[in-house]
Amino acid sequence: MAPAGKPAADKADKQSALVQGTLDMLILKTLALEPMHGYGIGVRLEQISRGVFQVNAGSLFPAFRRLERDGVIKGEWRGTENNRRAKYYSLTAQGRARLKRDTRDWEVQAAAIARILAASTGEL
Amino acid sequence: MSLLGRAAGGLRALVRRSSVEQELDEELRQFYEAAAEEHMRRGCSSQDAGRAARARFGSLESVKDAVRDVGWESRLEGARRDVCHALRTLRAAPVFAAVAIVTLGLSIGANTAIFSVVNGLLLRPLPVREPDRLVVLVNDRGRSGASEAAWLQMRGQSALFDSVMAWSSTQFNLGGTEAEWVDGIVASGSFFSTLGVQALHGRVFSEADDRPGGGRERPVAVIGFDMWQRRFAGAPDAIGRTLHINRVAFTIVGVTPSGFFGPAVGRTFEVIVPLADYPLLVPPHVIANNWLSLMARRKTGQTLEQAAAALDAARGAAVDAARATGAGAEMPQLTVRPARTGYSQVRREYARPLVTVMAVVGLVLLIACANVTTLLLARASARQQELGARLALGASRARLVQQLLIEAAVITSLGAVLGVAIAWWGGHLLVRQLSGEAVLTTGRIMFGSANLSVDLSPDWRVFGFVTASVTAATLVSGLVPAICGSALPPIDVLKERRARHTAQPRTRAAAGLTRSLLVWQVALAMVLVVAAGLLGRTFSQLSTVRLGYQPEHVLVVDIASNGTAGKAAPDLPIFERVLERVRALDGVQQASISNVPPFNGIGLGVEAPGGPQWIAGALISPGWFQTFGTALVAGRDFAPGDRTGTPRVAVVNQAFVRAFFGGAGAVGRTLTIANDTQGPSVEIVGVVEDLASSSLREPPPPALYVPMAQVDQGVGADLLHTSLEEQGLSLAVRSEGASPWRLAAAIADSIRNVDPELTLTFRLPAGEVDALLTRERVVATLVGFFGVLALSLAAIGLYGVTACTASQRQAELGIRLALGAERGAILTLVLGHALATTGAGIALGIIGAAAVTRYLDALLWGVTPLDTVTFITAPLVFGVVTVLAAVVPAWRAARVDFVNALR
Repeated sequence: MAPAGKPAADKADKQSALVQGTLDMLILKTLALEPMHGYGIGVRLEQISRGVFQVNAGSLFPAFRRLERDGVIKGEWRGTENNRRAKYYSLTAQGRARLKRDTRDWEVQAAAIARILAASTGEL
Repeated sequence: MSLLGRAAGGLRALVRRSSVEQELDEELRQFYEAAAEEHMRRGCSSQDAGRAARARFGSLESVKDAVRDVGWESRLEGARRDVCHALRTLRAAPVFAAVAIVTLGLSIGANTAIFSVVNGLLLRPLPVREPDRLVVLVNDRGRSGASEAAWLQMRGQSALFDSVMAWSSTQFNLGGTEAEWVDGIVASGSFFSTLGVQALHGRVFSEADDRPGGGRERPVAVIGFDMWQRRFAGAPDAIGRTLHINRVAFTIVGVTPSGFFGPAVGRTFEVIVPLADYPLLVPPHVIANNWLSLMARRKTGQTLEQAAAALDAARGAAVDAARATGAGAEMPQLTVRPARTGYSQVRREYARPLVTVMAVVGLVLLIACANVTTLLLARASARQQELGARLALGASRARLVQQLLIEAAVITSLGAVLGVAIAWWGGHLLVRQLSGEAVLTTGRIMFGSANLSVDLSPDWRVFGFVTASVTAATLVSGLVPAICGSALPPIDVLKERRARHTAQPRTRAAAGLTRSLLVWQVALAMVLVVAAGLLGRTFSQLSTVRLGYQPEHVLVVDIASNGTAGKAAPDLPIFERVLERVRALDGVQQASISNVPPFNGIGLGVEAPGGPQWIAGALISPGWFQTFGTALVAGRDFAPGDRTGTPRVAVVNQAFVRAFFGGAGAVGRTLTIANDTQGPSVEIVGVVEDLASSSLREPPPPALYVPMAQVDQGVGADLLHTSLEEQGLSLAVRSEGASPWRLAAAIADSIRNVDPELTLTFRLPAGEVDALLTRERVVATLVGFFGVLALSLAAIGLYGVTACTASQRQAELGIRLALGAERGAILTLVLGHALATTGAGIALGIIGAAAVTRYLDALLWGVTPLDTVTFITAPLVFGVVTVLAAVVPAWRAARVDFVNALR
């Protein structure tokens, strides 16, 4: 997900290559709350992040396919509120474990980065 | 787990493509509709909402592309599409495709054919159980030859190896009065158990059968699969039938599996007979001294060094024991060599020529690849618009290189398919040619039965070789055009540029590359042509060696009784009666008998200062020289008057005169035959021209001829007696016309009228002489063929490059013409340009050839590796061919209408 996402898949690739793992983690977290279809996930991410992360179809859908093949999410065709068919994704048991692991790793990394940034001149 | 999931997902996407695509499409459409709905909620019209959604998220198709790229199957899909595209473009350019595919097909086919012969002869292990454990026992010169006594000693040492066996190749006569000689093996009882071969039908013989007179009542024999099919039509009741070997009855007890040819690669067998029964077939004194080969199977876990050490220790013990008892040590000094691929004389003879030919066809493949590279480069520059458009539409350069490489791979693979077919046909043809076997129309005359038999069936090595060749050819011929072809700034290409007045740097680079490729092609082809010239001259020198006789008119019949066991040997009067009858036949100009046919000398000792020397010699009847057409140089031939009781005479050849008398007159001089109790001296009454040596490469040896009628005692008599016992005598017949074999039936009848029990073997000296040179002829033919092929490829390359360059320079040439240049000058310009390239190639080729031909030294005869004639003729031939190849496009370039060229 790129802040102010450009439509070109190319650009999305370049930027999301840095945060590909992070995007996966965020999608898993979103699905941990409730099963959702693709648009719903994008909207929810945008909402919760208060507009910092905007929906980029060119990153979301490849991530869905990747996560589905890895077995951490499961896709199911269901009817939407508007009586249309949509593919709803939900978390599998493996996905839950991966989310837990990724969240812990992220917290460790974030704490380490915060420590480095907060270090005074004497420590670095 | 995710690896499995990805693999499964990708496979599903490949196999059920349409449903997966449909799902994706539906999912994305739903996404876009949901987005559009949100915009509509905010008050846009449905059209604007749709457009806004697409503007925000990108086009549906680009998102689909991004999703498809996630899986590995998209790369596979891309490759598949490239292959289809390549096939389509090849179909659209049939001439190019045909030239490239045929060029590669011939080269890959030739390489594979030679490799499969090399594989069958040098690399493939024996088709037996655990061939890695087999070893052959050889002496310090690497030969495996042991006497029967040594074998018995070895057999007694059961603790040394898992098992030991002894065997020898020989020939058996399966026919009646007219001999039918086949290749066979005589082997110890442990032969099959050591090798680990089971019978296909019936049983194989074992130690119990290896007893004199056979195991039970009768001696047994095992036949080979081919013989079973040929003679018994594969019938199971062949087991138990009687087979007459050398007129002795044997019982067939089993058939070996198809594909088993014995322990010697390159030979095969029809019948195997136990060692103990051999004396039934052949008189004991005929058997040579160290005629058995010994092979053993190591114990499981026993290494080569351990086996060698054990053998040494055993020999040491045997020598000590023999010394203690005072008997001579029988166990020879033997060591072990691995025999995974069998033990073979044939291999030694053919290894070097085959490897040479392998190098030659490797060079041809390189040249073919260079040709295909040039063709692909030309095509890439012609397709610049298409490739540029692809780049502009967003393909990465790597993708373009992949596409071009796949095109090259398609061409190479199609060429390989053609090549495998060629290899199958070519390999068999090569083996047949090397066999030198020929059966004339009468069906009864066969040349030497040294047939080469090689298993050419493809195994993993051959497949690996083909795959490696295809991969190498693809990379060599495809990589450079792919990289050059994709190095395009798209904007340049998309502009319409017809008239190029200056060559772009890129086209200059490609042209330079093409020219240097051409130089290398010409150089390599030059090396090949020089090699072909040297080998061809060797063959022609050998085939014009002065034979000293005229084989075209001669038919030889070996008359013997050794094929008829238990029958007394014929004596001289019988042969003289035969001679009378045959001389009286129609069409016979002269006939005579001797104890040896030409080329198989026996030794007579002649006293000379410095001790007796062994001279090749023969016992002959009067008229022998006339029969063979050997010229009498001085003195006289033997006459009927030279019999027992008259002064003993002899005839010598010129080489003898040179060696013993320094070339001075020999007629009238006397010789002393060593160890001859009959009397000391023999008078020389005639000198004949030299008969060529048996290999043709050595100078003719000195020879001594003695009248058969004069030997009734002494050394000569022993010789005659042994001949009569062993292989009988040879009757040589000179026909008036040029087809001596037509007399065969009449001669056979005459002989049978004298004695119907004699065994006759017909031979044609003319065919035997040809067979001597089989190897040289085949090698010279092959290298010559490939030299011509290489030259043609280089010429085609030159033609193509000149035409291409001329068309690229059309505008420039048009300007020159408009400015007043003569057409002749244009011709010279283009031609000179082309010939400069080939000149460089020829020069490079001569240097390369001079460096490389010294490796051919062992194969050459009569020419040096730097033979002047060849090194002058080859460049001349090249020069002529290349001028012809370049002059046509140059001529066309000079005739161009300059007005058209300038547009």
